[in-house]
Amino acid sequence: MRKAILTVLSLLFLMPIGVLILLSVAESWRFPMLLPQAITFDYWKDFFRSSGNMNHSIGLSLLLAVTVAGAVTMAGFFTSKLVQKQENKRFLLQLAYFPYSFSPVIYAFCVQFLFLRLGLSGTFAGVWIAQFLLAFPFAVLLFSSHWTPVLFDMEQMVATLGGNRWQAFREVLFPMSKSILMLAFFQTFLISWFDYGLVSVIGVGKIQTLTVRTYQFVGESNVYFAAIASLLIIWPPLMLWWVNRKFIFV
Amino acid sequence: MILYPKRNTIAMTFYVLLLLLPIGLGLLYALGYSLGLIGALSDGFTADHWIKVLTGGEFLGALGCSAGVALISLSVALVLALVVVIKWTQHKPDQAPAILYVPLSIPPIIAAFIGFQVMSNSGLLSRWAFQAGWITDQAEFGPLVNDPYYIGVILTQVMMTFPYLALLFTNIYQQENMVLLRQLSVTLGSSEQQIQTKVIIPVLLQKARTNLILCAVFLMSAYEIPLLLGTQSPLMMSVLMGQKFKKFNLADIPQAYVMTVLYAFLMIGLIALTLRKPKRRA
Amino acid sequence: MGYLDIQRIHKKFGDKTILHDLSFQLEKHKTLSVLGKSGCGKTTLLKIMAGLLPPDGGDIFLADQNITLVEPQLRGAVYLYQQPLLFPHLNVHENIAFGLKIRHLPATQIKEETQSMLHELGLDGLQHRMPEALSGGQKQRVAFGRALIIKPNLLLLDEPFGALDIETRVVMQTLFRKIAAEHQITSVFVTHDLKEAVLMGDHIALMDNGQLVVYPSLQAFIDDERTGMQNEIKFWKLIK
Repeated sequence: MRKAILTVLSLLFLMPIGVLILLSVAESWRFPMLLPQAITFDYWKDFFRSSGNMNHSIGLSLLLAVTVAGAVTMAGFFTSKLVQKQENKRFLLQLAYFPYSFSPVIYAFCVQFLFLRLGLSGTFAGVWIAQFLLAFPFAVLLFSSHWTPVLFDMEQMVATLGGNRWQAFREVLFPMSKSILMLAFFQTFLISWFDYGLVSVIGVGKIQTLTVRTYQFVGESNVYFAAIASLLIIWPPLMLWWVNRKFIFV
Repeated sequence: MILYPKRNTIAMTFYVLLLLLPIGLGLLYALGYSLGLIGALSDGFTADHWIKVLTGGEFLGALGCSAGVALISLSVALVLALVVVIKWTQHKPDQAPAILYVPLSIPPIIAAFIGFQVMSNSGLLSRWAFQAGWITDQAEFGPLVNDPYYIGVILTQVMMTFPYLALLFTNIYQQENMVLLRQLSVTLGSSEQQIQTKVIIPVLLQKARTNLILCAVFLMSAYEIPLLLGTQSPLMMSVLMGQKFKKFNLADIPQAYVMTVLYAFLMIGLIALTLRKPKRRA
Repeated sequence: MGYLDIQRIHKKFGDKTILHDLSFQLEKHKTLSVLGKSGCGKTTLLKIMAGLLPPDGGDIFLADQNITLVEPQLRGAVYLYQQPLLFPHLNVHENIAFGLKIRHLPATQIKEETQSMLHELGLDGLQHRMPEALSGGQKQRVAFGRALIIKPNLLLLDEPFGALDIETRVVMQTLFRKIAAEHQITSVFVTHDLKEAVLMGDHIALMDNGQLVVYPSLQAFIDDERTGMQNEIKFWKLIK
């Protein structure tokens, strides 16, 4: 039974990636052929040489995702810790569900006037802030189960052994939190890396991330470039998953 | 450690403001705009835009469409996930198959693109059907994308949602020691079917309740997939709102804000209901 | 004034008064056993002494210094939980050496003192083991070592043997008495076990209704019906 499930799931989930790979190298793939008639890597060469400046989009997406993920992870880590120490922590955690539960595009529609008024619309900073605001409550919720009474007791133990707050963080809390920190970084990286709705609304077309370019290629019916851009978007999470299968959702 | 109360209060106030202020201000602005109090074409208070939206049929149609698509997608994904998890864990309750993580690496925009390449008239499924002799022309392959029944949208959303649910259920299965519950049920004389329907499924659904409702909210609010694979009528909520905002017809914008306010409060209400403490039975 | 002087400590949680004008003194190098039921405020008292909870009123003096508002890391009062709370990412050696490392002592000195402590606690050969590979008794020894190596002014033990089986408990009680004497430790030992309270302390106290009664002698402790000692003696006489 397990083999059957595995076979079906593998076909189901690897097939789409196979389609993307074939599209990206198909010189000619007419209906009703199941496989391309000829293979070429010219699209890949053109993609990176094109005047559309794909390298800029890739760099922009990476910069955005890495910096947003880094900031959200650290902010979420310490905020969650503080929230757990409050008497009304249940209420405070429930508040975190609200922004998190708006889909990015609807959240963007709600806040776009604010960004316009602040001159952040169509800017990198604007998109960065918007993604931070959306991903931050997610990180707080993710870390909420990490801050157990035992962890707080360990922090107190360090204090009675003579350690200050920084030593407690560096010597105990940080090493004990490495895997959840990596998980949070990975998850929030994906929130930013995959984002289309928020970037398209707040960025008003000026912030050309990989997802925005992919949508443009689809709109232009340039399926080959769309396939390549799609593969570039999905390869980092696939690689990370392959390297470390612990990167699961919580 | 002795905490500093004042510093905590400031930090928590900042935290609450960060969560609620942007969206709160946004909704206030939307409300003001929708009532004609703010905006380029504002003429003072008016309920006209609200009446137009609530009686026009477009908003309610989109709401119904979004809710319907979300419910169907979630239901199918739920059944698939339960089948996979129950069959997978029947004899050995270890971790879920790693292959389930692959769809989690695919964002909605790309899932939509792949969906189109697979399900369109000239897509992969159509080519298989042709090779199998079921069709003789690509036009004979029924519309699965941009169709009035949102079949393409539903199938794509199912493909993205059921792996997530399967992983969630496997997680719960291990956390709740379902192996022991299974063994206990066997000693009480339960059959395999009874164990599944009276023990495993109820526990999984109960523990995943909040996640399932949040999933439904996400599916209702989907943008990229219905944008590429949906149809022009009826539209799903996010796509309708996007059209109203982006069309640059200033007269449409107050209506877009009415929809934003209505939809936002609906989602907030749904989340609030979800987060309510469940009543304990006596 | 004693070496440890607790003066009218008061603590409330919400509407409930946990500690009510609690006062006592303890001489240097002595152990005070505190007996009390679960929920009577023993842990609260220890945490206040350690600086992990602020009192609502009262003062704490240690070696003639008022430490009531002093941060926990500067008090020299180590708090030992019922669970050993070993740092899971550090091995036995690193756990014991922790306090010395954060004081930035030279590596050779850290190594020497840690080796000596390992030997004293009967943990030779276990220095590279991780906490999850240790037994309950071994973990508690490592916790002791981690506390003692920094020569604390005051050791606060919160039912440290509560989670151990009877045999291991007896071994640990003997070890603690030995170490306390050798290292001249001043400590407050909290327990809900009658026998342990009698065995571990140079003085015995009973915590009741937010107040602490320190008995001048063992006989006074036995004579007080609230301690339950008389019932215990009657029980053993009955079944004999």
